[in-house]
Amino acid sequence: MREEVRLALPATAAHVRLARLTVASLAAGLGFSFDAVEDLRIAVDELCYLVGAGRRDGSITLRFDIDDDGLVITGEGEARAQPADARRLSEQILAATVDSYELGGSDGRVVCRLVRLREST
Amino acid sequence: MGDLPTPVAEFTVEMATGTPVLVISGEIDISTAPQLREHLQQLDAHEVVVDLTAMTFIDSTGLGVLVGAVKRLHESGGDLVLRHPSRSTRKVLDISGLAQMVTIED
Repeated sequence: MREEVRLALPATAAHVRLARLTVASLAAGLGFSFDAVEDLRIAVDELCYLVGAGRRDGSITLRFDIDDDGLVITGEGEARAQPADARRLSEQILAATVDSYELGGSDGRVVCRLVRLREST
Repeated sequence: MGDLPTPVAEFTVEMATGTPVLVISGEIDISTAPQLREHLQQLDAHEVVVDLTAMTFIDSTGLGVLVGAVKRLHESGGDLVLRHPSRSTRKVLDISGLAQMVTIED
């Protein structure tokens, strides 16, 4: 099985919960445990924050890649200045809620990729 | 345009015991954390209880607001009590270190 779901959202704060709802729906459908679904809700929320959610304009895009191994979520948006403490806490939360994550980007764009494996549910 | 119409967090303050209890319902994220900050700042008390029984989500922005509140209370010798956090909320309280800064009532 291999499926891809894409979601494009305004970068406004109020739309972050659509990303949470989407990942919760996908993860529950894939048979992830309740705790894993909760982990993914907060991980995706932090991803949105790291790729720029909370601005008045612009957009963020999320791609959910589903296969037999698990769920890979890639978020992209415009880079913005964030307090170092806030970014550190977001990364601490990601480290504790997904199997791996990567954060990078260039030319004013930021990309964050999360991996949650089925075996860890 | 732009904002979703349904509120995702509600706040009420109960004063039955003399200690203010801020009851949170719903989700605390980047869109509702400012409301949480306002409500906490309006509570003029030595000790504040935040009832999390009906809070279904909190992220790093909400945790940051709680950290700010507990620092203010500690400066005046006070305390912040977090009541009935869910398992997932307890997890992020532990990750953030906030669990070590407050009193938690399970």
